[in-house]
Order: sequence, then structure tokens, then C-alpha cells
Amino acid sequence: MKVLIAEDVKRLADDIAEGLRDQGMAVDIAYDGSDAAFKLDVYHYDVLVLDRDLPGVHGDTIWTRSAGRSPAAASR
Amino acid sequence: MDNPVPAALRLLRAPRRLGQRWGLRLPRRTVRLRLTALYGLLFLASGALLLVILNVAAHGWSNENTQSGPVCPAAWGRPPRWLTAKHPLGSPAFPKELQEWQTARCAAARAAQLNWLMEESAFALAGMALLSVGAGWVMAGRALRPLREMTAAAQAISADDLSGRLAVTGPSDEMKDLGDTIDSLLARLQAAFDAQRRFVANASHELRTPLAMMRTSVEVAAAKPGQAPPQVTELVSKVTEGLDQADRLLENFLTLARAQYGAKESQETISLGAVAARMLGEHSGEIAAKAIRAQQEDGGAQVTGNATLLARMAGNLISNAIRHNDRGGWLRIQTRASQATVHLTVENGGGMLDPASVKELAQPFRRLAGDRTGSAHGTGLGLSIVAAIVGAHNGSLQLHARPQGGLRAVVELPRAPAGSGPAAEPAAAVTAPAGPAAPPAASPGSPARTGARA
Repeated sequence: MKVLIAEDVKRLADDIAEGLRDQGMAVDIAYDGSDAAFKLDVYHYDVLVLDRDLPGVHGDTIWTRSAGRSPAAASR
Repeated sequence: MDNPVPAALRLLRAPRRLGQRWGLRLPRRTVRLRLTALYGLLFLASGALLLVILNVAAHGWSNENTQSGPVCPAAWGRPPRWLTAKHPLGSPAFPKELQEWQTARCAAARAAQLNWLMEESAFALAGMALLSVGAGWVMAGRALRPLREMTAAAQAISADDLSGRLAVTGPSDEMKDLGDTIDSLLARLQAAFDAQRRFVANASHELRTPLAMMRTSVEVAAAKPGQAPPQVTELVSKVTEGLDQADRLLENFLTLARAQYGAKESQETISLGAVAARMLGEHSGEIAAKAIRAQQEDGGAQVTGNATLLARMAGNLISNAIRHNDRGGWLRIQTRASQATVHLTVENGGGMLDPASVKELAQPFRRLAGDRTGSAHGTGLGLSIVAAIVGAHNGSLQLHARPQGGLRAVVELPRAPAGSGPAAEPAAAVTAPAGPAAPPAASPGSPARTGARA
């Protein structure tokens, strides 16, 4: 399962990623909104863990753009 | 010997005391009344002084003229018969006696005139004094009108909404200075209140991130594959417990800030009894765990307000009543409506409480002796959140230590205007949605006043 974590607090993102990797998932991390939007455009993810208050592109914007594409996305 | 100042004060209060003794209700001693009385008294005193001066001057003038010669021929008239009989016309003594008689007659006439003048003046003064009291009443009312307007405007400004201003218009006089001073004070107060609320809300929000980081780290570490040493497992459980408590505290801080700041949002009319029943249901697990007998009496109470906050208010009261209850104790919730207000009463049995310290329980972090932040007895914000929510809805919260032990919390809120909100509501439904129900009359800690219901 491929997961994207969009979270600007680095330690928190890393810890969540580590926990999910321990459970056998493939995890990507985006530390800001632009990176998250780019990764969502380029790659396919099964799960999106999204922080709302992201620098660059706001989490709400990313959510509206990705909601149509990936019905399995889950928001934090 | 008595101090002269209290003696004078007693004298001033004498009319009030006499009025109380005779069962009379004296008017409130307002500034307007006092100004009117002062104005009337001053007018009366200056009028009386004027009369005295006039009297003295008239007497002086009259004496002077009476002695200097006969100046009141109109008062002479014909000489009396005894005078003409005694002294026939032409006798040498006649003119002298006649002159004496004329002078005496003249003095008497003047005295009568003066008396008449004084009497008439006194009547006129009394009439004018009455008129001046009326004029003084009107004048004092006009002079104090800006003050009354300012009082009304200031009363409309509450701690929940300090944005109102007196905005006194008119010439730059003492009243406008007072209004402007109060306005600037309000502006400073509002800035301070806003800063405090923003700080609490922001701090609570910002603190959530590091807490989330800690929780994630701990949970990720605990979920690592393989068996963790027992001391690590214990550490994880302790840290998680601490984090849970910090989360609850922060959530309560945010609720408190929201209650003080945002209660005006999303107003709707709800039934307080229904809210209390729902909250009682949500706490059914805890009620069952402590084997508490819970009972609710719904007398139909509609309120308009923020539904989330009102639910939180009822929930906190119920949770408080469960937490500070004895095992196998009782808990009773009553909602009722009166003419203009609705009441939510949450009562519980339990240990004896100090009536003096119970009054302070609505202050943040105020607990009764023995409770500490780290205990299982909550965050210390529950009742202050209730007080803040009640305050934001223009109500009042009263906490009483029950004489038989336990706490009685009474929330009074303004009743929702007729015709708004949910229509049908049971007039007196008795429900026991949670816990093993039992009539409160059977419970030993049941209050005597309200024990015979249901």
C-alpha cells in the first residue's frame, strides 16, 4: 500500500512514516503543500495523510484537487 | 461621648428608619431627588431671608416716618367721641391729644399693613417654593439625562461583548469627558480581554502539535515488531496516560476560549431536558461502573443558544456529579421552566463539602482540598467551562454544598421566546436512561425538599 504523508512538522511526519513503514507500507513524505501537490500529480497513492495548515499550498486546496482523483484518500 | 459625625449621619438616616418602622416605602434617594430637595431648600432659605430683610427695612422706614410726623392722613378719620367730649373744640389741650391719638392710630395702621404684607409674602413664598421644587425636579432631570443615557449604554455592554461604546455626543463638557474616559477604558479592557482569549486559544492550538509528536513517537515505538521489555511497556502506558490528560486539558482550554468568545455563533433553540438526557446516555458507562442511581425529570425547558456548548455544559455537570459521587450513590437531573427563565439542576450525593469553598469551584483550577491536577478527578476546568458557557448565554450558575453531603448545581438561563424551536415536548417526563434506577426517596442521601418526586 502506498501512502503519502503531507505534514510540515518534520519530526511528526517522520514518526508517522516510520510507524507505517513498520507495518509494511510504502510511505512518501511531503513537508509542504507544493511538494504534496507535485507528488500527488506525479505518483499514485492509496492513502493520503494530509495536514490542513500546510505552507505553500493549503491542505484544503490539495484535498479538493485530489478528492476527485483518489476516492480512497483519507485526511488527517 | 458619641462621635459627632455618626450622630449626624444617624440624624440624616432618621427619616428612612422612621419610614421602615411605620412600614412606609420611601423613594430611593437618587441624585435627582437630592438635587431637587437641595434646590427647594435653598430657594426657601433665600426667600425667607429676603422676607426678613424686607420686614426689618419696612419696620425701620415705618418707625422713622411715624415719629417724624403724621404721614398717613387716610388713617386719621374723625376724632373719637371721647376725645371731643373731653376736650371741646378750641380748648388748648385738644391739638396735643389729637396729635397723640393720630400718631397712635397711624402706627397701628402701619403695623397692620406690615403684618398683611408679611402674611401675603409668606403665602407667596410657600407657593413659589412648591413651584421651585417642581422646576428643580425638571431641571435636575434634564441635567442628569446624559448620565442616565450613559448608564443605560454601559449596562448594555457586557464582558462577553465589549465592542459597544457610549459615544456621547454634544458639547465638550463634563459629561462628554466622562463618556470619553469610559470609552477609552472600555477600549483598553477589550484589547486586554481579546489578547487573553487569543493567547489561550492560540497556545492551546500550538501545544497540540508537540503533544501529537510525542504521542506518535511513543505509539510508533510501542508498535515496533517484537516483544518490548516490560519497563518500556509500562513507560509507554504512563506517557500515554499523561498525554491523554494533557489533550483533555487543551481541549478544555479551547472549549473555554470558545465559550467566552464564540457562543454567539450558530444560535438555535433546543430542549435542555433532551440535551441532558443525551448527555446522561453518553455517561451511562461511568454511571454503571460506579453503580450510581441516575434519575431525570424533564419539566420542559427551551433555551436558545449554541447547541454544542450547551451540551458541553450539561455533560460537564453530569460528569462532575458522577466523578465526585460515592460508589452506589445517586444523581438527579431536573429541568423546569418559569416565566422568563429555565433551570437545569444537577444534584448528587457524596461526601460533605465546605460551603465556602464550593462557591469558588467555578474558578479555573479550583478544586476542593485533596484533589490535584494529576488525579483522576479531571482537569479542574469542568465547572469553569460550565460557568463560562452559562455566562455567554446570559445565565447564572449557582453551586451549593448539600447539607446531607454532595453538590447541587443550578443553572439558570433565559427562556427561549415562545414559538421558536422544537414544538412537542413532554410536560413532565421521568426517565432513567442510565444506571440502575431507583426512586431518590429511597436513597439515604436524598434531599428532604425534593425527595418525594417521581
